[in-house]
Amino acid sequence: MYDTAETYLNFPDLTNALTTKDLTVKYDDTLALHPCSAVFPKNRITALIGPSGSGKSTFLRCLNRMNDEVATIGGQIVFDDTNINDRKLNVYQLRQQIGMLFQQPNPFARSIRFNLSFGLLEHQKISNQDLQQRMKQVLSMVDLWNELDGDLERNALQLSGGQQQRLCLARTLMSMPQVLLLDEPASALDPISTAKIEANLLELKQNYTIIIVTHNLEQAARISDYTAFFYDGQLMEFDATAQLFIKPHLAMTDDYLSGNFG
Amino acid sequence: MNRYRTDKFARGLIYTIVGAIIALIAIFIGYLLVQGWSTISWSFLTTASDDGLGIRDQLFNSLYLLILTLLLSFPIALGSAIALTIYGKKSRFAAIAEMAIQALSSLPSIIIGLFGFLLLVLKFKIGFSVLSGAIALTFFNLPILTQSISLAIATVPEARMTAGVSLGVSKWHTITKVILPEAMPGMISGIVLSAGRVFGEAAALIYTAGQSAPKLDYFNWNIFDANSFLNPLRPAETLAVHIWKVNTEGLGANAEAISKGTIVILILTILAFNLLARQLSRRLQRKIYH
Ligand SMILES: Nc1ncnc2c1ncn2[C@@H]1O[C@H](COP(=O)(O)OP(=O)(O)O)[C@@H](O)[C@H]1O
Ligand SMILES: [Mg+2]
Repeated sequence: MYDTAETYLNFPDLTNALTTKDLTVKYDDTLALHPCSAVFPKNRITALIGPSGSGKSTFLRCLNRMNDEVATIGGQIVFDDTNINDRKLNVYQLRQQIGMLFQQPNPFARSIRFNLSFGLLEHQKISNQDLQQRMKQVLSMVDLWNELDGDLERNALQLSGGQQQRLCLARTLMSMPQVLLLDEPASALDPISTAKIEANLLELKQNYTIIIVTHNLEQAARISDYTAFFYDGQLMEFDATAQLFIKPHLAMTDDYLSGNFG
Repeated sequence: MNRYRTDKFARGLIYTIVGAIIALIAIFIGYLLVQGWSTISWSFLTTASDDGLGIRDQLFNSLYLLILTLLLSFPIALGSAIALTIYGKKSRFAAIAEMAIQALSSLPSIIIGLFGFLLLVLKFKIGFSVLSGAIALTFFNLPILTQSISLAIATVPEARMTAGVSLGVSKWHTITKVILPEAMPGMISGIVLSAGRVFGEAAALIYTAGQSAPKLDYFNWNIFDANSFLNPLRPAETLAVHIWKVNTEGLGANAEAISKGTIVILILTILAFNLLARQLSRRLQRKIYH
């Protein structure tokens, strides 16, 4: 067993996009996330790693309030100088600001146009021309515009798995969010599709803050600037990716990285 | 080799059984059609039974009751289905409600008819009427319709809801704009199939919509007039009830011909509903997915 009392959290001195203060999550009576204070630097990719069941998804889903119905969430999440873990907050607006992508691509069984426009049109009136332009823009950002020949009427379910996932990524970009939360977005994809998503993310981080859960340690090493290691519902270590992968501070992290458990 | 033989044998057996069932149904329906065919004529469909053989008013009553029943039962069934499959999923309430629905769906329709008679016809003094009949048929139709709509909604993957909610769309709008449209083909075929059941129902109507078909005036749009075709408070014998009545009362030499002819019309209409259900849901499916 490891000593979970000792943690090593080395947050950089950069502009933050999002911070948590003593964030806790309870499913019924079990504490799935111990008080977690973390800082996510703006326009950087932070990877969340750790064994299955260590609370990565639980933590991530709190950040845009996707856990509201299933869990009790304590503590604070500060975004744009406001605590967004507040019952009175408009979560619909928030989710336009903090987008999310899941393990399985989940496009609507409708046209690509519907997929892209649906969420945005729920929140704002936008001229057809602007909408068209925005769709072209986000599809280009995920390298789909050319692949689709600009055909927006095709049914999204006709696309390959990798294309579907990139469409879902484009869909979250429609509202021009500030933060993207990705929960193992490539784990259901083949290596080529994975490489394409990774390339997209590296491009996107110029304008977006990205937090990505991944089981794939090479992926975390390849694309992330910072890495957070979770174990048993606790944030154990946070450091620059280069540092954490080469010389982790905790023996536990070291063991995880060398594949001793997982 | 042996396994191959067993497989072949089992398959042969299944085909034989299925073939036998199909043949049985074909003989059954064919027999009824042949029996009643000679009665069918234009005047059979367009004259009132007061004037002779005709079933014009019964045919209209059946359609009118069907439409009213669907208007009453569809919104309730849709609402219950949404509540049970999406909002109340896995809740205790949903489990209890589902049990109640199942119990209601296995209730003999004569019981629903008598309940309607006691409550609507006598207690509320609505009398033997289109309205009493439509309400009784709504009770008859609700359980099955709710079940088929729930089933149609449940076939839509849960990922759609997650996707909608994660885009900042409310649950309700995700339901109305994504989930229901996708469930539409299944819902339509559920509605049309239940329409066939409603159309052929007799027991629930005998003591609610009544057993008499006053001659209707199809140009009288004043729904308060006793002979207006739209009047919801007049008695309204339907095709199925007509068959039952003609056979129990055995009036005159024509009774047999009338009942056989009516059976043909009833069967053909219900078959048409079934074909329509398939066509509609297939076409909608194509429209949504391509
Ligand atoms: N909806 C839920 N209800 C109850 N327990 C849950 C729920 N989601 C996750 N858990 C539990 O919380 C813990 C953390 O799970 P999760 O956040 O999914 O881990 P990870 O994403 O790191 O694999 C696990 O023990 C899991 O069983
Ligand atoms: Mg997870």
